[in-house]
Amino acid sequence: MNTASIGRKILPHLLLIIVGLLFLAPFAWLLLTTFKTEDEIFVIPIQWIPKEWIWDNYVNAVSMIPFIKYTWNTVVIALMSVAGVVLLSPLVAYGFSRIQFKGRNLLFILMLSTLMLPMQVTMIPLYVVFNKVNLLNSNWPLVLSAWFGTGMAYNVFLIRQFFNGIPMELTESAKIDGASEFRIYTQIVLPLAKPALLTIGLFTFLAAWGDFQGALIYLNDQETWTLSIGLKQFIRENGVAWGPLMAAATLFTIPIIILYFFVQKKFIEGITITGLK
Amino acid sequence: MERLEPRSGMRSRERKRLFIGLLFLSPWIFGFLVFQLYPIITSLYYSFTEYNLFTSPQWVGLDNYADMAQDGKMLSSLYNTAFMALFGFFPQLAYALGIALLLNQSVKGLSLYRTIYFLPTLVPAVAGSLLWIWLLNAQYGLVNQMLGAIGLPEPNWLMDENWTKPSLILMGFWGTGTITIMYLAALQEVPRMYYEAASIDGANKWHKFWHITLPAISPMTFFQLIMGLIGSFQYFSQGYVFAESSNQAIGGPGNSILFYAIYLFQNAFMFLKMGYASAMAWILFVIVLLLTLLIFKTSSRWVFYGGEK
Amino acid sequence: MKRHYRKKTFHVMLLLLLAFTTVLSACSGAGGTAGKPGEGGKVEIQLWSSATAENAKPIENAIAKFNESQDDIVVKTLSNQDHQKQLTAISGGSAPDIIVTQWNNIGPWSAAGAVQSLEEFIKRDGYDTSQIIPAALDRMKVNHEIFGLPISMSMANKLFYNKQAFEEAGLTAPPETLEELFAYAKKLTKKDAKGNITQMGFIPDYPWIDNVFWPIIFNGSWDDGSGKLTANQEANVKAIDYQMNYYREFGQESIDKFKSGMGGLETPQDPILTGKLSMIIGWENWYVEHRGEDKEVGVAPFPYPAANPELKGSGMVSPIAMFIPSKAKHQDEAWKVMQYLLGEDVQIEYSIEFGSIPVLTKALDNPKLTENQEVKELWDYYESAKNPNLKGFPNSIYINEYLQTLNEETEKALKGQITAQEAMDNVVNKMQPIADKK
Repeated sequence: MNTASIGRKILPHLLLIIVGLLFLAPFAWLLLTTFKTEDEIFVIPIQWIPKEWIWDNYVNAVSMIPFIKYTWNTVVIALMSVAGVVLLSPLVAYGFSRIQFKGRNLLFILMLSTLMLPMQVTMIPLYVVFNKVNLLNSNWPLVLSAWFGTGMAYNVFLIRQFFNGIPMELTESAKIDGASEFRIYTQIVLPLAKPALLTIGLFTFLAAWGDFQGALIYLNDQETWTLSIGLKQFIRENGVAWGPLMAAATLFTIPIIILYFFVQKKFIEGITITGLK
Repeated sequence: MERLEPRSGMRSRERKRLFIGLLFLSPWIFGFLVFQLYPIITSLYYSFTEYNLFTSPQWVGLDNYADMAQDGKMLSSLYNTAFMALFGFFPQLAYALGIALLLNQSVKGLSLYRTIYFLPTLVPAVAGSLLWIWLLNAQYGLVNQMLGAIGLPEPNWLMDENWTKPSLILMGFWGTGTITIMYLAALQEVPRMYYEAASIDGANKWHKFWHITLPAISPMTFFQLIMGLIGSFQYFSQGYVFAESSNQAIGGPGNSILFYAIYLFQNAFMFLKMGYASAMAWILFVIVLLLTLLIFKTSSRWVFYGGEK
Repeated sequence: MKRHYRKKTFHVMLLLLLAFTTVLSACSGAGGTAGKPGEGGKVEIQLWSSATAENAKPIENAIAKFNESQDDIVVKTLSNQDHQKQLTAISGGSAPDIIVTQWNNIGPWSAAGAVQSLEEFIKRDGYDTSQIIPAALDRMKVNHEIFGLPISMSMANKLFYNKQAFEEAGLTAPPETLEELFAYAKKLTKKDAKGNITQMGFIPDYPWIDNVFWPIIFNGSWDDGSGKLTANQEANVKAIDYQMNYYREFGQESIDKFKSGMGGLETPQDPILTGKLSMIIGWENWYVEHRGEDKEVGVAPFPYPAANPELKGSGMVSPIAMFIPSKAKHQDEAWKVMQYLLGEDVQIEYSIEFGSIPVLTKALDNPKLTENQEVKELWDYYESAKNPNLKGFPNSIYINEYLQTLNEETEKALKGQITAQEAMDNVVNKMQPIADKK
């Protein structure tokens, strides 16, 4: 092996590691901070490594709020959101991508335009809608918003872009064989779009996991609160419980890191399945 | 029954297409009619009224829209927002694509790298912004220490109104994980045989990127452009959290980070001028819609779908 | 073919997941809605507060005691209900029966018709409002009508100082007048060889620009009680100009740079505790553990203008308010709860737990407070809470816009972009038409 080829092998790693360190920094800092005493968190200039490692912040974090209950509530909402989104969005996207009909483009623009109105002005009317159908104080406003709200436009658009990339011949030949649109959708197009489905599933999960405003507005019972409301509990009017907050934020983040790790692995599998390469 | 059919002038195949199309679209149509139509129409109605959220709205015609032209804060918030869209979003998009290309190589431990690169997107905003406030500290921050070491000026990132927007843009680069991952998924879809064919023709890396990769991922770029446009014009949380956690009033020093959506929020929920806020929302809507249509119009020239011939 | 089966299984799994989670949600779903009859014929009412976690404990404890004290009403409390949520719920038609919130929400919300006026209840029951500290009760009034009651109050009328910094500078007593404060600040400010500030005596707008505190110190006002805005009168302009002195003396960029290097308030790197900053405006709930005879932070009355000794003991009051939304279903019950929360013993316990000042004048002299060693850092404050020079910002529908505008213009003046008079003229020019409209 000559030096040039060694260089070609090492160079990408070097680049990835250097840039990676920049990206690792926020989480590393978050993680290290959770082991510091309050005194050390606020040292100027910034202190990375704790002088003395302590666990108290975690103990406080899980005792100050009902952590398990909030996690469970959050998981339920997130999974319900994901399930509906993954079932419904590709269906709509297929309609916009593969079926030619009059007014399709107009409807598509209409759908996108629902994203362009800031939610600050639609929030209260939407609340009124959920109040009218008597769904306040349940998970449903959150879940239904994930399924049918502006998130749907986003997801449909994203998947439509993927569907549009699937060669026409694949579906045309099936059509000639007499397959129905629904068959083509479930048996040809959907399996090819697995990475896209994983992507919207992941994003939906993350959005539900981190949603604070929606959860606070619709959940009127402390028993049904989610983790993101729980995190806010550490921020009080007269100062923030930084140590426990950072510990809670870490516990809040780790599950989604693990989830993400597995999902991005699936990406690669997804591609080998499509067999396009 | 008979009358309904041929009048429309549609052939039966077209009608069947329309029916199937709408069937596929039905989840969206349902959601639109039930959950979106009412809020949209009400907000449009509010924009022609004076509405304080509690008593019934009073019709004022176009007054809210006329007031906007006089409102210096509204115009400067629009400027701040456009600034972020132009100097924030576009570099960040290019950057995210660069990272995606970096992560699309075949090197060992890629899963780990991909996870690390996505981490900042997952860290809750409270923790992330606190760290940034440290890094950008004018006296002790890492950023200024580095700038000082190579003899560059050390700006007061958080307090100097000329530097607050650049600070937010800098922070934004960290949060581009979602764009990166979508680009990554798009890059995986580029058929490998294209590259092989190009190699045989003797194309270099640059050529391959320019003539194969970019066109192949153009549908994703199209998506990102439109979503980025919509998102940039509704830029809210980061600006809000930034001012809050550096102990400043909403809008930051000299209102330099008073963004359109923040000012709109202020009008709606602090000044109780929901009518005015709704009018602002609809102006924003029109601006973004026109820009989106513009992108759509040009898209046939630069967006290439594998599904098209 | 195999692939297709896998896809189907995938969808079947999704469907199962969906069904499963739906059932889950139905089980863990809807709790009680506001105002339904509770067990045993009791009326259940809802109280929302914006306090979070531990800060919500005092109200929860007081309510728990109320629930035990009688058999007709059960109050359920929900904390962490921020401003936006409160607004959305009231506007969206599902208001609770009592809301505990920042006092400055009372103005805009009441003028908009969302808050029940208490005048009727007060008249009907002959409730004595004169027992409430006037400065706190005034914040509950909009156009002279009472819309809420204070539950607790905070006040800023002291000067906190780092004793060691004073000693090192040879200062034996805290400053008496504002002129002395400025002279002290000069003495306590140090620069390094390069001209960078390394220690400062006082920063008038730290930790934030205070539009209410400073004009009060100069006996300023913001309206004349009949709709004319007075923010540009002499006293208010003087208050801004006084703060500008510090920027003229030390330079805006230098102060900003110095500020950026100060640690966070009440963290272990707090500028007062570390001596980077020698003096600060003193709220009753700051530095509680560091104040007192043999501790590092000294407490003195906030200085007054030398020319106006009658303004001694001036200060700012900021209460927490409770009110009944006008659409609340159980207003009589809510009124009873509010009266209970203003009982003397309840107030005393509440203020001890919360670390704030009770809003009843008579409680200020109660030995349960004035002889209670547990709260001895607050004794000063109990005493000075009786001072008639305590004031606050007038409540109105446009209060938040008014405060915001004051903030923006004051910032410009402090940065030396405009004069103090120009700044306050700008405020009045902008706000008077808005005030006239309402």
